[in-house]
Order: sequence, then C-alpha cells, then structure tokens
Amino acid sequence: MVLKVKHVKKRFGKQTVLKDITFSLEPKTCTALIGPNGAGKTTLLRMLSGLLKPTEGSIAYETKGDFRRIIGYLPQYPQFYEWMTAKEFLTFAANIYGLGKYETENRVRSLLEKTDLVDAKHKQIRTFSGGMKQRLGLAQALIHQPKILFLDEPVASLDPIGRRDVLTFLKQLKHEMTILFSTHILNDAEEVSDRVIILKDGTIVEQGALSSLEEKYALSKIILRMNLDGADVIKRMKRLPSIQDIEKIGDFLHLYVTSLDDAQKELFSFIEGEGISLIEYRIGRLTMEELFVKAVNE
Amino acid sequence: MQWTTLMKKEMLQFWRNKQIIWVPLVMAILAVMDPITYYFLPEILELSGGLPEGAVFEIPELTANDSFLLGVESLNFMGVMLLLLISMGAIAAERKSGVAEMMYTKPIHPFSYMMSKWLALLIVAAVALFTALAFNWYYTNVLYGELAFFVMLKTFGFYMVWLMFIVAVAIFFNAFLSKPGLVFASAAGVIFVMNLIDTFLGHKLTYFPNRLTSHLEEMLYSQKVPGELYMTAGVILITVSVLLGGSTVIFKNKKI
Repeated sequence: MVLKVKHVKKRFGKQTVLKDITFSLEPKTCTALIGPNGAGKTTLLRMLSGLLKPTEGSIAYETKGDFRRIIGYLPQYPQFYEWMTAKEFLTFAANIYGLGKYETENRVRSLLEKTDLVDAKHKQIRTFSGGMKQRLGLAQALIHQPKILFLDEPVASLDPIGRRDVLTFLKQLKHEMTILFSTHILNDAEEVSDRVIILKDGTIVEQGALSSLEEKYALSKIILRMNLDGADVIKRMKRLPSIQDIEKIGDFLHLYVTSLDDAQKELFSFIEGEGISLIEYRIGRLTMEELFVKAVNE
Repeated sequence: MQWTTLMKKEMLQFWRNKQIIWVPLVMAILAVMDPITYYFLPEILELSGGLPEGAVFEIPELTANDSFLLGVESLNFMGVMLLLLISMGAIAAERKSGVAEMMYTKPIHPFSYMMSKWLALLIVAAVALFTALAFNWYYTNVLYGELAFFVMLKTFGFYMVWLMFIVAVAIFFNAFLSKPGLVFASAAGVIFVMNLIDTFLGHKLTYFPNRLTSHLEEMLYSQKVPGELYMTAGVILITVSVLLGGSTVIFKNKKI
C-alpha cells in the first residue's frame, strides 16, 4: 500500500465538497478517478498532493520522510515561470528536490527526450502550445522519480495527437510507479487504468478493478439487428426475464442482460416464435461509459 | 542547497524582466529631480515669463545637506510606491497565474521561500537606492558644494532598513492574498496609516518606524549618528522579523 486515505472530508465554508472518502493505492497500479464535473476530483487530488488540508480524516503515505519527495503532481492547467526555458525549469525543479549536478543533467536530458521537447528546450515557456506545456508539466512531475504520480485531467486540453502521446507515455509509466489520474473521458480511463474510482457529489460511488466492476454491473450486452424491430416487438422483448434493458441505437438493438446464457436461450425462442430473422448478432462488452452511467445513477 | 536555487531563480527573473535596470533608473531620476529643479529655478521662472514687475521672490540658498535631503525625501513616497509595485506579485502573482499549484507541491521550505522572495527584492531595492543616492550625491556636489561620500553611505545603510520594512510588509500580504493589486492596496494602506500616525503623534513616538527619516535629517545636520536612529532601526528590524515569521506561518497553511 503506497497510499491510504481514510474517512477524508473537505468543507469549504458551509459547502461540503468531499464526504467520507476512503481508498488505498497499491504499488505500480494505475487508477482512474472518474466522475462528472464538480464531483470533487480536483479537490481530492489537491489534498493528496498537500495543497489543501482535509477537514477531517487522514492521508498516509508509505514513507518516513517528507511525502512531497515521493509524489509528483501535474495540475489540470499547468503554469510555469513563463520567462524560463523548458530546460531551465526542469533544472530548477530538480534542484528544488536537491538532485546532484550529474543526476540533474541526466534526468533533464532524458525527460526532454521522452516528452519530445528537445527541440524546444532553449525556448521560453511563454511561446509553448498547450500540448507542450502539458508535456513539460509531466516532465517536471517526474523529475525526481516519484513513487506516486497524481495527474489532474492530463489529456483533457489536448488535441487527438497530443492525447495519444500522453496516453502512450502513461502506459509505459505505469510499470514504474503508482498512478492516480482524474478524467472525465471514459475511454482514456479504460485504455490505461487497471482500477477505477468513481466519484459523484463528493462520495465514492464505486471502486475496484475494471473487470470486477464489469461483472458487478452486468451485465453483458448483446447487440443485434433484425428485419423487424418495431416498438411493439421491442416491448414484448423487454418482458423476457433475463433482459434488463433495451436501447435502440441506429439500426441496432443493444440488450443489457443479467445472464448471457439464459438471455440467449430466451432470445432465440422469442425470435423463432415471432418469426423474425436476424441480420446481425454479436456479443458486446459494456463500455466504460455505460458502466459509469449505471454506477452514477444507482 | 535549495536556498541558493530559489535565490538564483528570483535574481534571474529580475534580470529577464529588466527590473534590475529600470527600477534603479527611475529611482535615480526621482532622487535628482528636486535638487536639479531647485538649482535652476531662477532660470525656469525667467523662461516662463518671469515675475511681474516689482514682485520680490527670494529663493533661499540651499546647502549641500538640504539638497541631498531633498532627494532622499522624494524617495519617501514615489520610491516606496515603486518598490511596492515590484513586490506586490511576489507570491500573489504565482497564485493568480497558477504556478503556485505546481510549485507548492514540491518540498519547498516555507521560510526559505519567504526569505528568497524578501531578499531578492531587497537586492533590487539596494541597487536602486544606491544608484539613486549616488546620483543625488554627485549632483549635490556639483551644484551645491561638498558632501562627504561617507555621509551618503550612512544614509544608504539606514534608509535600507526602512526599505527592508516596506518589502516585509508587502511579503506579509503576499503570504495570504492571491491578487497582486490587493497586496499593493493593503501594503500602501498600512504605510499611509503609519504616515498619518507619524504626522500626528510622531513627536511622542520617538522610535516609530516612520521616524527614521526625521532622524536621518538630524544625522545630516549634526554630523553624527543620533542614538534615536539606532533605536528606530532596531525597532524596525524586530518588526521585520515578526512580519517574516508571521508570513512563513501563514504561508505554510495557505498555499493556493
């Protein structure tokens, strides 16, 4: 356990932003913190990185010294001393952590390479694009080889190429350290994380490994296309015991079912009885988005 | 050492934004304007049409001390305002821009941080004050007669104590505010109120910080350093330590 959060609450004046947050992070896991806007993701990350103090509860890191030495933090909108160059800023950050001269040079060089900023290293940060700032922000968070990395919406402001770069980078990093990142883009969470924490209105509504959540929330999904799919047919189909819900998306019907085996049996006899012919049939996986909506609405 | 890292960064910033050049320049202009204007006052009056016939306008002769003092006094208001202008964003601007969020998750010692900000600003203030006083001293010598260089140095030393206080007040408000304009207004407000107190009660409060300039005046005319000057400087230095200590504690608990 590299981080244990117990019964953490945060109030700003009369407004309670986080209520009773408890979770922990295992070494070298990647956890996505997801939740709608205003759920308290940024507040939670700011508390974990020491910028804010919890009103109640405890946050414990697995370290004897100053916890700030083992964490790296990338804010949602990273800002720098604009008059510095990228190389100067990283060197400055390394010196803050007290890295030696030789180590500093090495770390700065390798991080500039990894974040693709070598060509821009002598340019003042004020000339940087959003994507470059995001990458430099990632580099400064990694300068001291932290054990835990906190990222607040690391890809939200990036274009598709920038997003791809950062996500690929995160996939490499998760073998080296513990990562907790917030996002509202569910595909990103699905792509890089092993675990998710779903936050809503300041409470954790669900947490766990992605696979176990999928199991818990169902639900499997059958996607099919038929020659007859009028409202009355769907209505009758909905009455089948294993089918929980049906959604019509374009020409396709998405069936959320509790048990795949039972559902298939029921479905085929239903189709036969109704004299419908199937055009397409496949078994789908619940997308992160569907999972999320279910968890948040329950 | 983290301390030197922070100091170097502050100084590099003052170099990059050229404040280390223009602040001394402006201060120097402020300090020499009055002595020079005064010297050429008869000519200036002549050029602007002269006095009506029969009017007698006696311009008192200034001594070297008077001239030098005139320059020092013109720093009291504009010089202090200038210093507040460059101090108002020391930390507040970092909060406002968002750099704070990135920086303050790093293991920075709050006291080192406060000190680096205060000291870097003082270096700029010292360069500016020295330039200003040196120009003032030079023109005084050229236009009004001899003034010992050592007198200028002593003035520099004691006036720096006053500026330490000004910057410490600015740093104090920086410790918890996140708008540079608000820092400026608050610090200027405090100094304004102190000036009021000095004006009305100064004669009773011998060691009040604002008394420093009156004691300096005394030093210039009596040719020796009055005891009150040392005491007032001592009072200021204690106040400065309290302000910096307080800022550190406040900053520790209010990062963004």
